[in-house]
Amino acid sequence: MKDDAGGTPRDQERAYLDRLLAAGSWRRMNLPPAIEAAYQQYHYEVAVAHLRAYWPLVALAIVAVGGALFLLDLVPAPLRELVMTGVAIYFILAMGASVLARLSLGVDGIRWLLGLAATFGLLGMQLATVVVLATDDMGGIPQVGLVLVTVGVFSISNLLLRPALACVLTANLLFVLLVWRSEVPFEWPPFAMYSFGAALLGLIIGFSQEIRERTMFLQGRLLLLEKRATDLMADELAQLSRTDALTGLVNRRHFSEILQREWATALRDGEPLGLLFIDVDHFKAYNDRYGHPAGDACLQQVAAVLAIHAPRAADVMARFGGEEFVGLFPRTDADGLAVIAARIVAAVDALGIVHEGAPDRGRVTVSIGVAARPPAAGEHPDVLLQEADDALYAAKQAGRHRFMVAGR
Amino acid sequence: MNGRAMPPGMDDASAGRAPLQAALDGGTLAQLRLPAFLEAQYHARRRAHAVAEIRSRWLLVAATIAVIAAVTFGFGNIPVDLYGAVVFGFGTVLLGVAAVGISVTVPALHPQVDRVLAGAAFVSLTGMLIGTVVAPAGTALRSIAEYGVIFITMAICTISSMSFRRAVLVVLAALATFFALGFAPDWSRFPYFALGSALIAGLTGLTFELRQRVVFLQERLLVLEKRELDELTRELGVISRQDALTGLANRRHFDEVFAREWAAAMREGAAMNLLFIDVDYFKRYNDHYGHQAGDDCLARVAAALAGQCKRGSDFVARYGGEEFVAFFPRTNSAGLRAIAQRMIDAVDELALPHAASDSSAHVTISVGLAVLAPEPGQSSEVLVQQADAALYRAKQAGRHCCVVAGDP
Repeated sequence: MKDDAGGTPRDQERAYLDRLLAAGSWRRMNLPPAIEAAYQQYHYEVAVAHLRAYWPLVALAIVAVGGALFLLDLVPAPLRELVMTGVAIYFILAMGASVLARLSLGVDGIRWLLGLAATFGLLGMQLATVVVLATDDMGGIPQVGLVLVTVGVFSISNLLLRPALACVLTANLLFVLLVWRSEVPFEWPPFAMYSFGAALLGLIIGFSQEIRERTMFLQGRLLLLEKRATDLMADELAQLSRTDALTGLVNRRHFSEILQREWATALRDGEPLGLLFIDVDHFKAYNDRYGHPAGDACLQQVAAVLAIHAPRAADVMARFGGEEFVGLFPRTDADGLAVIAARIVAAVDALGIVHEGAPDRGRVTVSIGVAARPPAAGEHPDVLLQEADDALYAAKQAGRHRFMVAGR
Repeated sequence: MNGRAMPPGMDDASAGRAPLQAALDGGTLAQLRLPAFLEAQYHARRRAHAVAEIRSRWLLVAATIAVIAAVTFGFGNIPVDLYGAVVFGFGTVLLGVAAVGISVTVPALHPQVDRVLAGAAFVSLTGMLIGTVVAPAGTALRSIAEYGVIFITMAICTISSMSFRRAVLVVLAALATFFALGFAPDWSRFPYFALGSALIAGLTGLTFELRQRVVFLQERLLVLEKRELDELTRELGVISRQDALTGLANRRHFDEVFAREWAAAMREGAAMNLLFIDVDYFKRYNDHYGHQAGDDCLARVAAALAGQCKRGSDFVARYGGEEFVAFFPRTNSAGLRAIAQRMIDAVDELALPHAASDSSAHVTISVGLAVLAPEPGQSSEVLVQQADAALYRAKQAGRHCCVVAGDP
C-alpha cells in the first residue's frame, strides 16, 4: 500500500526510476550496476536479433554495391584487386557476425564480436586510404568510406557508445602505429581532420541514439513495475471489498453474490445446497462484561474455527454481521452438514473462552441452524437463508450450544 | 499522417491504454503508423522537444559552422574566382541556422519550427551538393564539400529534431533540385559520398524515429498507469476506512482517529468526549422485517447521525452491528447533551416503523455520553467503556434516551 520510497524493493526501484527519468540525460548514461547490467543485456539481445535477421542483408548489399561498381566500370583497372578484396572482407565480416550471432555468446561475447568486426572494418578502410593515396587513381574515395564507416560504428553497428568509442580509438591507434612503422609517406593533417570530424559526428549521433534507447529501456522497466503495482493494488482492493476486516472471512455482500451463483448451479444440477447460520451465544453480554476489544478477539477466534470447518474450495464461511456467521456448502445434504455443524459446536466449546456472563456453561459457545436441500425452480435463495435462520432460532430456544436442522 | 481528422472525443483519456499498448506490441509498422490522435500528439511532443533542444544548441551549431568556414578558408586553397561562391555558401548556411534560432526563440514562431528547419536544411544540403561540382576536381575544397554532404545528410536524418519523413523529403528535394538545376556530378565519386551517407543516415534516422516513438508511447502509457494507480490508492484508502453498508467511517478508522484525538487532548489537557449509540431492539427489527430491511434501517440511521456532525472535526463511525460512536472535539457538556438529543430526534424524524419495539412504534436509538480529561498513561478504552456503561444505563432506563456518565 505504501506508495513512495521505504516500501518494498519494487516500490523503491519505481521511485528511483521516476527520479532518473525526470533527471537529465547524463544521469541515464551512468546507471547503477544492476540496472546497467540489465540494460546491456537488453541492448545486446536486440543487437543479436538484428545481427541474425538483418546482417545477411547487409552482407548481400555489400556484394551488390561491389558488383555495381564493377558493372558500371567505376573501378580503375589498377585498383580492381584491392576493391575486390575489400568487398570480400566486408562481406565476410558482415556474414560472419550474423552467423556467429546464432551461437549463444552472451553479452560479453557479442560485444567482442561486434567490437572486433568494427575495429578491423575501420582499420581496413584506413589502410585503403594509404594504398589508394599512393596510386592516386580513386583519390578521396577511401577517405569517404572511412568517414562513413566511422559514423557507422557509432550509429548502425549495434555497439554501445563506449565500446564504439573504444573501437574507433583502437583502430586509429593501430593505424597510426602501422603507418608510422612502415614509413610510407602519408599526409597526416587532412586525415586527422576528417577522422576527427567523423568521430565527433559519430559520437553525437551515438550519444543521442543511446540516450533514446536507455530512456526506452528505463521506461519499459518502470511500466512493468507500475503495472505490477497496479495489479497488486487492484487485487488488494478486490480482496478488501470481499472480506470482513475483523475476521478475514468473506463479507456479507460477497457472500450474497456467491449464494446467488451457487443457488443457480445447484438448481441446474439438481444437487443439494447446504447452509449454516451460526450465532455466538450471549455475545452481547460478553461484550458488556469484557469490553469491545475482547469481544473482537473472541469473534476472531470463533471465525478461525469456522474457517477450518469449510475446507473444500467451494465451501464459503462468511461474517453475516455482528456475531452472526453463515457457511455455504455446495453439494452437501442435511446429514453431511449436520456432521459439520456438530463438529463446529464442539470445536468452539473446545476453545474454552471464558464467559462468566453465559448463564449455564461459563464458556463462549455457538448455536447453529442447518438447512440443506436442492433448490426449487423460481425460489429466491433467501428462502434457504430464512430456513437456516429459523432453525437457528429453534436451537436458541432449545437451550443454545447446539444445532438444529430445518424441517426436523 | 497529420492530416487525418481526429475522431471526436478520442483523446488519450477516453481511448485509454489499449491503443498505446497495441502500438507498442505491434512492432515497427504499428509504431510508424499510429492512430491519428496519437500521431498528432506525438508530433506536438516532438516539436516541443525540438524547440527546447535547438534553443540550447543553435548558437553552438552556428559557432561550429563558423569554425569550419575558417578552416576552409585557411586550408581549402580556395581559387580566387570561387571566393565569392564559398562566402555566399557559408553565409547562406549561417543565415539558415540563425533563422532556426529565431524560430525557436520567438514563441509565436514555434509552430513554424519544422518548416524553418526543413528550409535551412534544404538550402544547406543543396548548396553543399552544388559545391561538390563547382569546386575544382582534386582540390581540398572539393573534398570538404563532399564531407559536408555526408555530415549534413547524417545530421538532417538523425540529430536535426525533424521527423524522419520530413528529413527524407528534404534530402530527396535537395538531390532533385541539384539535378534539376543541371549540375552533373562526378559519377566516379558521387555514389560513394551521397548515396553512402544517405544509406547510413536513412538507417540511423529510422532507428532514431522508432525509438523516439516508443519513448513517446511509453510516456503516455506511464501517465495513464500512474493515474490508475493513484485512483486505486485513493479508492483503497477510502474502502479501508469506510464501512461498506453505511458509508460512515469504520471501526478501524475510528480507532485510529480516536487514539490520535485522545493523545492530542492529553497533550493539551483538554477533555475528550464520546457518544455511544445503539439502535433499540434492532435484533427484533431484523427478525421481524428481514436482514435486507435491517440493513436499510442502519443506513438511514447512519445518515441521520452523520447529519449532526457539522464541523470538520466532528466524527461519527459505525462501531459494529447496530452500534455507532461519535465524538465532538472542543464541545462542552451542554453542547454534547444537545447534540445527543438532536441525534435521538433525527432518528425519530425518520419515522421508520418498528412493530416489534417495546419503546416506540418506530425505530429509536439510545445514547450513552461520557466526557473525560485524559490523564497521562491512561488508555482511551476507559472513555469507550464509560460511554458504553452510560449506554447500558440508558437501555435500563427504558431506551430512546440519553444518559450521561457520572449523572445520578
